[in-house]
Amino acid sequence: MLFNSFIFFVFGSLFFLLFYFIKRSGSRELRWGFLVAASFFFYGWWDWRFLFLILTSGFIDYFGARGIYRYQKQKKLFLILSILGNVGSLAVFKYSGFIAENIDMVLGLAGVKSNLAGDIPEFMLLLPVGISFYTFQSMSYTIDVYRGQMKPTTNVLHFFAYLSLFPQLVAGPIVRATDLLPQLRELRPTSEIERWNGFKLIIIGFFKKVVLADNIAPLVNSGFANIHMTDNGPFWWIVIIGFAFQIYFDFSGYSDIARGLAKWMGLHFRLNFNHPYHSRSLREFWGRWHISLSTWFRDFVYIPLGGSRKGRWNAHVFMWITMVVSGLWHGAAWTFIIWGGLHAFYLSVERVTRWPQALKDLPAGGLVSILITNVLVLVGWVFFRADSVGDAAVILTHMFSWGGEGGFVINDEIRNGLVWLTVSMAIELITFFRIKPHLFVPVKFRRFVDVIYVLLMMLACIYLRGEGNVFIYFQF
Amino acid sequence: MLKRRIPYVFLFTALLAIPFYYLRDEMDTEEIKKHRHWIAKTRNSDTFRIVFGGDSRVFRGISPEHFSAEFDGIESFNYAYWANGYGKDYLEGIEKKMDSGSDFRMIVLGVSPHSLTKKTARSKHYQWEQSRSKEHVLQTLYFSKIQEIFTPYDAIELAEKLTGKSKPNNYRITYHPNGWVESYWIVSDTTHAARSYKNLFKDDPVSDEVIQGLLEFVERWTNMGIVVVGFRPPASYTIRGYERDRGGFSEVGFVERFTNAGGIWIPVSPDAYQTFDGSHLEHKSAMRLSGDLARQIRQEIKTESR
Repeated sequence: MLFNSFIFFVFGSLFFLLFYFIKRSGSRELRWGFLVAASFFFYGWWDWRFLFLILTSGFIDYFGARGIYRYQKQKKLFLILSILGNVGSLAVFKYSGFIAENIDMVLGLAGVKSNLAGDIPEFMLLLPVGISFYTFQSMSYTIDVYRGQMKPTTNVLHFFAYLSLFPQLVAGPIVRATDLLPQLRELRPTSEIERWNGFKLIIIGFFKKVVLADNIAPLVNSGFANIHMTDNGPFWWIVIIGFAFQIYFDFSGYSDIARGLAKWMGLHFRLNFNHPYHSRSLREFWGRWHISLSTWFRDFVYIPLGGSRKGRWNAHVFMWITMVVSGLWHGAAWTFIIWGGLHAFYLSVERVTRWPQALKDLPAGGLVSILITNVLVLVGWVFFRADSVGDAAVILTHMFSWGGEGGFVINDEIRNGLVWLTVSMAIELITFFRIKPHLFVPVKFRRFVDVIYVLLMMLACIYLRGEGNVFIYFQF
Repeated sequence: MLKRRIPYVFLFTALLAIPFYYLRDEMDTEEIKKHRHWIAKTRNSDTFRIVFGGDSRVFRGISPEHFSAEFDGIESFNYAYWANGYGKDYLEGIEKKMDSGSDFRMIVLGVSPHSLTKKTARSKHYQWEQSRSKEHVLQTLYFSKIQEIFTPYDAIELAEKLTGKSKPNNYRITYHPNGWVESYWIVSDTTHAARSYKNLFKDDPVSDEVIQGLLEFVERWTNMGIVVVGFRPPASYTIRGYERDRGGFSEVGFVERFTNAGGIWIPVSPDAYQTFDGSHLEHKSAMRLSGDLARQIRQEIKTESR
């Protein structure tokens, strides 16, 4: 079920209506059961058969965590079983096609004909929505229990309410059990101001998704659908900048909606995006982009590998492993692996040269740092969005050849995309320069500014929305 | 007011929605009407004694109402789709639309050369409409009137409307439940479609395999007692030239094979009807062609039965 669909509007309205009465009834078990049932319904609307996958993945970790806690001597064995279960389901449903294609290719180079990719059963090629998110969330639960950071829950409903909570089930933010389970146990009543803030987050999220991201999408899609349509350098820079804003508003919009819905339930999800394009370095970028995933990789991959405790050289190696795995997490394709590797390369160069610190003291050094960081990020986005490594290479050639023979392509879709790209950039600039437009309003009317913002955004969501697209991060 | 901010936002949004509603032109909701039309057409479970098949030249060019008026009032249905070709799935779909309990049954096929290529034989639009999700179908059939109220604008279009600079849409279109899409341009341009036809057959000429597949169905239907009629929907002289020279379509050769398979061919004079873009009939010509076809088919059937 998509947040930006009519059916979700019906589902959400019914959910909060019933949730209100269930909360008032005071029955905790009914509340847990309702949360699980509603979340399963939300997920099953897409394809109920894949509920079995969440259940399997969940039960492995539910019992795995209990095993870890109860049989301390064998706790490593339980942890390995849990990780194998989760990584195994990812390998089967997300990576089997990619692995088979590459084995076929390697065997082909050795002169052996094989067709493993063609023999994969069809159901294994259907990527279950949100599999990467809920398997990671599930895994973090057992690892936290293994590390002694929390006690496992003995109530299976509590565990599944944590794992499948619908606002964040299919596209995050990835929430840690140490954070969410205590909140779910002691659901607070929501105040008027919390409901208003939640509502505001939901509307902001929808505005980012349906107005900004969906209106920029045709500009980006028309470029990537035909990479040979023009070799005009500026055109391709604009397409990539368009994609940078599209993916940012698409995903941060989803996170905002999820956070807003959580607020209405009396929960708090941490910030997942914090203006990443304001970053002065790649390190800062990763502290602002998809924060819940970055911290997951830091806590469960980079630090367990050794982090920066085993010398500078090893820290680089561990960081490369983390970034490449992060690339692979995003998609089973070489383009994503290269994207991860490219960011690892940027981070390595940054650690060695310390260029952001060097620029910091120069006049306008901060702005230059932001510019360099964003150009590097944009080059990375080319690999992230391109259908193949070859396509990415063609686009990069166009971008850096400047002034090719082709002209700047313009049509109605691109023109509309350009309008919204300009609006998006203006919004980011306003926040960057910390301009507070409400200060221009007479003091006695200032208290209404918030309401007017939300009202205008809501009208924009209705009358200026782009053609409905699936959230980009659903495919991961 | 600040205590009830959420209801107030909804209330003011509803109030401000009113001027937006009055700003719109009938063509602004065309997209929603279009979706509703195709879903209703595809999900219509009724069967008919007369069914029309083909591509956009047929769904624009044949009005079942005007045909039936000249054909003893027998109800007919236009089952043509966008860029549609005569592939197996689509031909089976036409067969399923026939009223199997009736004594007289007739299939009328509009044969444009483009409907005989391998690409169009995949009947992508037909397949796409068949595979629509239940959610989308329910939403479009039962809630699209509400959606019409909330139809979005693009930013430039809205700015033009608010500043009074917007020009009226040149395209006028009315969707009929019998499958006809009544269309015309206020200012027609009969050279428009020729530009895309120039390269249309480049990698995808008329396919003998597709023709053979169609003729097998013509033979099968004729053996089932169904009257099968074919005609070539009118198009501009330039487009017919592209269809012949670049598409490799020979009307004479095709007609011979069609009639040998048991079909009845109705010759249509392309110059007797007016298109709005060179490829699609404007509504008045569509009405006239529908009536003319009905009369000619009736005449042909009478002659054959003698």
